[in-house]
Amino acid sequence: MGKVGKQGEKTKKSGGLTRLAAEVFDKDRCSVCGACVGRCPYIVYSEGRVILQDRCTLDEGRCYDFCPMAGAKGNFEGPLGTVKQVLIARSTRSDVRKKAQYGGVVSTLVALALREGLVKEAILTSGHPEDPPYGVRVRTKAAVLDSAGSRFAAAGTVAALNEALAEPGSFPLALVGLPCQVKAAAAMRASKTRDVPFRPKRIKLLIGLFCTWALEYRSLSRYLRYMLFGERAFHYDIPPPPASVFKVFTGDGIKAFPLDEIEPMRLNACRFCDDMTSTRADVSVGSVEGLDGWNTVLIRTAEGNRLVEMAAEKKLIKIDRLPQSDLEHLKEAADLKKQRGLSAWEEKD
Amino acid sequence: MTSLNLEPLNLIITGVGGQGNVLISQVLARALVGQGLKTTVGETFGLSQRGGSVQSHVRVSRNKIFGPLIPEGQAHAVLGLEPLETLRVMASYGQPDIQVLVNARPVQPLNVIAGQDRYPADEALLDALRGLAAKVWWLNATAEAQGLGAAIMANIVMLGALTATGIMPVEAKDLEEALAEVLADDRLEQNLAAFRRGLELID
Amino acid sequence: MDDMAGDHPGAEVLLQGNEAMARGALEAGVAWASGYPGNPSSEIIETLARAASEKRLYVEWSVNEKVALEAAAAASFAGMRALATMKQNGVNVCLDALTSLALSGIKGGLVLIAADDPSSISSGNEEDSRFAAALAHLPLLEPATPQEAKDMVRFAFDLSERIGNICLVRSVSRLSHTRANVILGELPGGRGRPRFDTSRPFITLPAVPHHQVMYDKLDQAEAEFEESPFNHYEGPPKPDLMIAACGPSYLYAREAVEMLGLEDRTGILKLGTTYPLPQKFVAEHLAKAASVLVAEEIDPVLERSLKVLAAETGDRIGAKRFYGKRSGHVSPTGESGPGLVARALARIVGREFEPGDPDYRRRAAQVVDELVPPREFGFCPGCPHRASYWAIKQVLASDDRQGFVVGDVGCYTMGIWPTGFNQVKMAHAMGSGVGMSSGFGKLDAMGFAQPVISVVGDSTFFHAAIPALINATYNQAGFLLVVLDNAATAMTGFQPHPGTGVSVTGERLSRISIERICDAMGLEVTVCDPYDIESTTAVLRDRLRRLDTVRVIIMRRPCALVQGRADGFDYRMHVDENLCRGEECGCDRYCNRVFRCPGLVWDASSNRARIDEVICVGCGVCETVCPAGAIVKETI
Repeated sequence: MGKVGKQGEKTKKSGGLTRLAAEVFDKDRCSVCGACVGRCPYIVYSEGRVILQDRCTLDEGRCYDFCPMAGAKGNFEGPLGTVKQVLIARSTRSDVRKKAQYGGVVSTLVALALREGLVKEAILTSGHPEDPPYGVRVRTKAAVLDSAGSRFAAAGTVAALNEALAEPGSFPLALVGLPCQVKAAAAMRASKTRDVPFRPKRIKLLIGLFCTWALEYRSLSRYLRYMLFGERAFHYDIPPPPASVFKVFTGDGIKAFPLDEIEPMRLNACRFCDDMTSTRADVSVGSVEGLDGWNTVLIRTAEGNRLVEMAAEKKLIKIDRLPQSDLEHLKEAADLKKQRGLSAWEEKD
Repeated sequence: MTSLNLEPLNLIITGVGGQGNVLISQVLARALVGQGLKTTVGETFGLSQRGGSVQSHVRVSRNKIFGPLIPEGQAHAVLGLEPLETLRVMASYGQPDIQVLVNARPVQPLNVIAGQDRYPADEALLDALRGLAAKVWWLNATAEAQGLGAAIMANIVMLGALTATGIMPVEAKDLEEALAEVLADDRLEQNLAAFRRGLELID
Repeated sequence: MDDMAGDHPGAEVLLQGNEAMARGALEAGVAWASGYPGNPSSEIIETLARAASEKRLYVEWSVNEKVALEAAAAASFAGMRALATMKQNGVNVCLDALTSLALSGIKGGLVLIAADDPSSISSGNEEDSRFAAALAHLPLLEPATPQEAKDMVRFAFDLSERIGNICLVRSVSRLSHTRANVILGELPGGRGRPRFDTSRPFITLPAVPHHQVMYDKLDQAEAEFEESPFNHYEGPPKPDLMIAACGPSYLYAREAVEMLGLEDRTGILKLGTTYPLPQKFVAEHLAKAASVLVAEEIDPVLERSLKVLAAETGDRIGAKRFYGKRSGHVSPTGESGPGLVARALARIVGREFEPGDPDYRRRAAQVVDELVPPREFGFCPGCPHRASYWAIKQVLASDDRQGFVVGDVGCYTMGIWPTGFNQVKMAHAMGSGVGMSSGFGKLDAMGFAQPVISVVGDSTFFHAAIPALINATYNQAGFLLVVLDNAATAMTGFQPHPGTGVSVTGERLSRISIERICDAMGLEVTVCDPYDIESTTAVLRDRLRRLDTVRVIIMRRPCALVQGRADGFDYRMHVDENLCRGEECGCDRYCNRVFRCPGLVWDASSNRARIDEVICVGCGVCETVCPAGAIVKETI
């Protein structure tokens, strides 16, 4: 059962949970994207971890098919993958900018897609940074804004997509996610399966986020509980280099922790990731180095282009050019991650 | 009165824990003792009642008390409440002249339900039984019992069938008397009906 | 039943070994009987309980065997004949009391029946309790048949009173649970009132002189044993080989000799009074042959005694060659049987022994190998333990700290097997689970971070868990205590205990509340219904996060077999074939393979799961298991 996905992904062999356990879980390479969660009773997501509760004996299964860390590595051209257009943008609405991590472009695009009926439901990641993260299914702008802001901890978001796909009805869906999550969703979208009610064509829109690495929720949570003496955090940020801190926004002010102390909490899986800019998305969105309050936007597909143009036409976003030097820096950073990721696969176990 | 031709006569009643083989071995033994015969019944129960295999070894003699375990290869008859258990017992205790009554309804072991093992088809079971016995009675005792109001009485139906074969030196009235001594009054009538139905199953 | 207690001396009736021993006690005029349920001993107390009101005796299931023996001793001190019954583990539990009582002596005949379980057919261990006789310096009798069991118990009371000490009667499963013809003896007339003579205290001090007195009493017993009808020799006057046998092994030996046709060469020395061995009697017969095969269960206890005797009398009886468990002719483990004794015998005399028809056996073995799968043990359909372990399994799996379950003794010990999802990682003696959890709960200071769930039954709680729980609470050990309260001592046959509110003779008694005991220790207690998987899981998850101290959850739901006999169950279950995913991705027969209930089977013709309506009781728990919602429950 090999498939050829978009952007020339190598064909992936088939496998079931036994293979998935051997190649991913047992090697601590699970990126907690959630793609394998919610389709069967064997795999569950709980508080930042994907857990095998029992063992399935089948030789082939969706869990292995869609896992971004199993089978063939991604194969995309250049450091950024296919890009039709590069811009920077930010939301024109203050209510959006207030909630946003950077420029509010993701929230704007999702809210627009919902309002215009391009999708009926969007899969985002839950709001409050202190609580265990999980994928959420939203249908309104208010709910979108509730989920705005970076979580930094892997949230098993694709599990919510699975839940939506399992419901009868053809309502179209969007997903906002990290590169691994988008890769999984893209694999689902490209799937030729005839499973009912799972209809891959329902995945209409994929918005990918830039990501260097994700943190493990439980370790982060324990660390912060200890370090904050019980203070609640409502926002996190990691400013671009040369700053080397993890900023935590609490009711008692902003605390900065050395990035060195946070790095051990990174998921081991992230070492193997070659994709910094979510190359499988329709639109990829990240920060702009040295420019607060704006997003870098990479338009990759016609669908993505339509949505961004619509947002610009409706004056929901203001767009501008990304300076060439910034683009070069972005490519360098992305390439660094790509090379590191690819070489990690060559490591001896 | 049926006479005792073997010395001792060795019968094994087998099934799955919970099928009531202890009850019928007790009833049968009472009837035998009532006939003036020396009877020993060796039972297995306890943990095996939780879904495991159970056996009752019944040994009948004119004048000797025998040990509670039938030596390997010396059973003359098997009354099987479940097909797998019947075959299992025959492997340890059977011999070419053995006569076997078996209740056809499977009780699936948990490891079969879990897909680790297979439950053989009826034909394979019957074939195997016939290959290892001089005579086999393949009976739908559970269905008969269900028809009379309670599947749990399959053991009583089988007891009736055993009686009708004449293998044991007891007659139907001896068994019915023993049933009346052992069972509570409110259950007696239904069980007698099951016993008599069992008698009819043998021609 | 009626036969057992009937006043028909000379009548020949069918009695179970345990019933026969109960009858023997009645014939001896027993006034008191206490014990703790334990296979294969339980029927002795149950039988006496049925006769209690008619025979005016007091019968009790005590909370544990130590209390059972102590309470029986009280009756004995007051001049009444008393009986204490237990399985091999119970002997271990009451050992401290037993050795003290052996020192102080007793008054009214006091008999302890210990029923062992060779091959551990229904036990957590395989153990030979006969060591207690040598340890406590008490006479020991081993019956071979139900008839002998009755007669020996009858005699044991007399002996006990004559020597002024406890008399041990040791049974095994193949005696206790065997039914055979028994000729009844006479039942006595009335008996006196209990009265304790305050001028004759029962104390153990000074211990050394009392110790000597114990030996003197043993000598007295030995003198009686020299003439005992429970010992006899059968066979030729000059056999090549002597088989020394005790217990049902005597019957196996007899049959083995017949099977091999060695009647004219082999003698059988049947011993029923095995401690102390009657030296003169045994030496006289041992002298007849140079070789001795010892047939017994479980340990080489008689074998060792005979070897000592042979060493001490060697100059008179000649050197002996012993065969048995020590020589490798008989397996040191597992129960015996006629075939096993025959094999040993054949090997000694240099014969081939093949049981039955070799060709038949080969064919039969092949059939079984190819066709007949094994049958694993499992919880009954509707068992609340299955539901409890299911909830525990889900919660422990989604917790990342590698938590585990510490088990104890009862039906729920089966949590060590797939039927209980292999949750239980250790199981030892009554109450050990809580004791061990008390230990685990204090390892956190050294860096131990795995949450521990201690699972204990309601009867086990009263038997042994309370002191361990006090220890844990007082020492601030942190773990989750889950009491599986199914309102019965289930594995042994649904006997009542202090939490059930009824006595073995059917009186209504004031229930002792497990919650209130825990509450009195200041512990947080929550009661859950294990059938309600969702709530139970939520409570487990929460408590597992707060194990700074002992937290208690009582999973309360009656044993399925008890429920079945009482009000029955609420639901009728069926599988919707259209929703069932079966072997497809997303299921892979999850309900069959993982949940593993005997009532939820696979239909190979439709390739779907199916409810087996003969086995399913309708507890409704499996409804929550199916990932496709295909299992439907209908309230009836």
